[in-house]
Amino acid sequence: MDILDSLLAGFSVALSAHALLFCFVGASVGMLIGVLPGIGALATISILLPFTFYLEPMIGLIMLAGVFYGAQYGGSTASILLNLPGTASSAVTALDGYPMAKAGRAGSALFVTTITSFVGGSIAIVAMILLAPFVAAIALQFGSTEYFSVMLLSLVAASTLSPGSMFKGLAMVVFGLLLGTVGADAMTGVYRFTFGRLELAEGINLIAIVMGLFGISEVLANLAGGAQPTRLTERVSLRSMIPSRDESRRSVAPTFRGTLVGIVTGILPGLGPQVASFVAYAVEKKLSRTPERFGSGMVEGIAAPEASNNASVQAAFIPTLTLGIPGDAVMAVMVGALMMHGVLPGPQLISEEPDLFWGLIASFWIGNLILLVLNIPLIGVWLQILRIPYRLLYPSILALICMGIYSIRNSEFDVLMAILFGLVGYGMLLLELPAAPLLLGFVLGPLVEEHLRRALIISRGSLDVFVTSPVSLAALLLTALLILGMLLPPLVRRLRRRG
Amino acid sequence: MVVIGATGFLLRRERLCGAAVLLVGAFGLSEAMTYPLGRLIRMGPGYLPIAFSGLMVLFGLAILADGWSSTATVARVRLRPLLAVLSGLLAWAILAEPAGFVAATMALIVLSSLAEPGARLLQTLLLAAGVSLAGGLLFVKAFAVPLPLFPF
Repeated sequence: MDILDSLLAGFSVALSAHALLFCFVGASVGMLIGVLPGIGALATISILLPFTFYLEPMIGLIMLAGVFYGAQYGGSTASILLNLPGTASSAVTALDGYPMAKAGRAGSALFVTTITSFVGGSIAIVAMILLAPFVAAIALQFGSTEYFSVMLLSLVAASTLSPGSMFKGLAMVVFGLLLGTVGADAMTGVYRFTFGRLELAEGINLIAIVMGLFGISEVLANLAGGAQPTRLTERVSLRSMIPSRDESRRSVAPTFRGTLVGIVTGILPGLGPQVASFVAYAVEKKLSRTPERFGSGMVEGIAAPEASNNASVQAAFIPTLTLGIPGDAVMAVMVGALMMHGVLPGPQLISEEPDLFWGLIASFWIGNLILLVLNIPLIGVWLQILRIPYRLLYPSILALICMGIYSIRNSEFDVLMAILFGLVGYGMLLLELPAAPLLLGFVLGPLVEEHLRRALIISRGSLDVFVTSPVSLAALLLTALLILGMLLPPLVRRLRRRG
Repeated sequence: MVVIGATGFLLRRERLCGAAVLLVGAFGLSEAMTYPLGRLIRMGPGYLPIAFSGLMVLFGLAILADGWSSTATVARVRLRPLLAVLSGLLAWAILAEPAGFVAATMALIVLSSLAEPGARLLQTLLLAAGVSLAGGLLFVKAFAVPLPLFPF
C-alpha cells in the first residue's frame, strides 16, 4: 500500500529525537495554555512563531500544531474542574462537566474527556490520511481560475458562517485583503500604501499583525476591559478516576457522533472547534431520551463535544495542507509559518515534501498519545500553575512578544507595527468586529490577487472562464448561495412584519 | 438615558463600527486612486485596492444601516491599564537599540506593571530582572539576536 509506506516513513521522521522533543514541548505548552484562561492557542502560537525560525520547517510546524491540539485537551480540564473554560471550544464541556465535578465525579469526567479527545483526534487523523491525497489529486488540476473561485468561497464562508454579523465578517475579510496589498505590487513593482516607508516594501509583517491582533489586544482586553472576567475560586480533589460501567457505555456512541461532526466542521472553512463542540452538544441533546437532564452532569454532554473539538482541530489541516487555503485564523498562521519557511502549502506538498506532510501527520498522532498519557497525571500541576497571578504573567507575555517580533528581522519598525495592530485589534474587539476573517484575508490576499490577475490575462480579459470551468462555477454558486442564505431570512422577516 | 449629539453617536457601538469601517475604506480609496488602474485584461496595481476599499465603504454602510437602531454601547475602557501597556511597549521599541535589551525590557515590565493600582515595587523589580536575564540569555545569547545587552 502506497499510503501505508508513506505513513511509515512519516513515523520514522516523527519519531526522531528532535521531532519527539518538540512535539512534546508543543503539546505540553498547548495543554498548559489551554488550562490558563486569558491566553488562547492563537496568541501562544503567534508568540512561539519566531522561535520556529531557528528550527527546521517540519519541526517548527510539529511544535505549533502541538500547541493547537494540546490546548483542546487542557481546555476541558479547566472547564470541568473550575467551570471556567480555558479555551472557547471547551465552553460547552463546562455545562455538564462542572456539575459532574460538583457531584464528586471530576475524576471520571476528566478520564472520559481525555479518552474521547484521543478517539476523536485519532479518527480525524485517519480521515486526513485517507482524504488528503484525494483532495490534493483533484486540486492538482486547478488553474488560477479555479483557485480564485475556491478562495473566494472560503473567504466568504469563513466570514458568514462564523458567529456574529455577516457584514462585519465580510468587512474584516476585505480589510485583510486590503492590508495584503500593502507593499510592492508583484506584477508592476509599484509601491502601494507604503507611505514612503521602505520597511513596508515587502508588505506588513505577518507576525506583527498576528501578535498585535491576538497577543497585545488580548492583554489589553484582559486589563482594560472588554474581555470576559475570569475568577478562580473552586478547588477540587480528584476522587475516583475510573468511570462507572454505565458512564463508559453511554459515552461510546456520542464519541463517534461527535467525531463525525468535528471532521465535517473542521474541513469546512469558518467553522472551527468552537462551532464543532456546540453542534455536537446540540446533536446529543436532540437524540437523548432525557434531554432535560443535560446540564446536570450528563456524560454524553462532555463526551461528544470533546471528541468533536479535537476531531475538528485535526481535520482543519486537510484544506490547509492540500489546497493551501486555511479555514480559520490558526490555520492562517500555520500557512504563514510554512511560507516564511519557504514551503508553499498546496496540492504539490504531498509529492514534493512527503517527509514534511507525512511526518506532520504522524506527529499529530504521537502528540495525541503524549497528551493521553500526560493529561491526567499533570492535572495537579496545572491547578498549581493556575494560581500564578495575571499581574506577573502579562508583563512577561508582553516582553516575549517584543523580543519575538524584533528577532524576525531585527526591526523596531515591526514592533511598532505590532503595537499599532494591538490597538486596532482592541478597537475591533470593542466594536465586536471579528479578527479571524481579517487574518484569513491578509494571508490569502496576495494569492487571490495573483490568481485573479493571471486568470484574466490568460482569458484575455473575459470573465466567462469563471463560469465555464465547472469547479469555479460550483464555488461561485455556493458563494452566492451563502450570501443569499444569510441575507434573505432577516429581509423576509422585516417585510412580513411590515406587510 | 438619552444622549444627543456627537458623543451619543459614538456611544452607539454599531453606528461607531459602521463609521469606522467606512472611514478606513474611504481612506484606502483616496490612496488607491493615485495608483494606475489598468483594465480587466491587465489589472494595474490600483485595480484591486480600489475594489477592496470600495467594498469596505459598502460594508461600512451596510453595518450602519443594519445596526442603526441597535442600542448596544461600547464597553467601558479603563484608561490606566491601556496607557500603561502601550507606554511599556513603546518604551521597548524606542529603547531596545540605543539603550540595549536589559534597559528596554526593564522599562517595559515596570511601565506595564503600573496597569493595576497598588504597586508592588520589589515584586515588579524582581520580575523585571528575571525576565531580562532569561530573555537576554535566550534571545541575545542563544539566538544571537543582534541587540546590545547594555548601552555600554
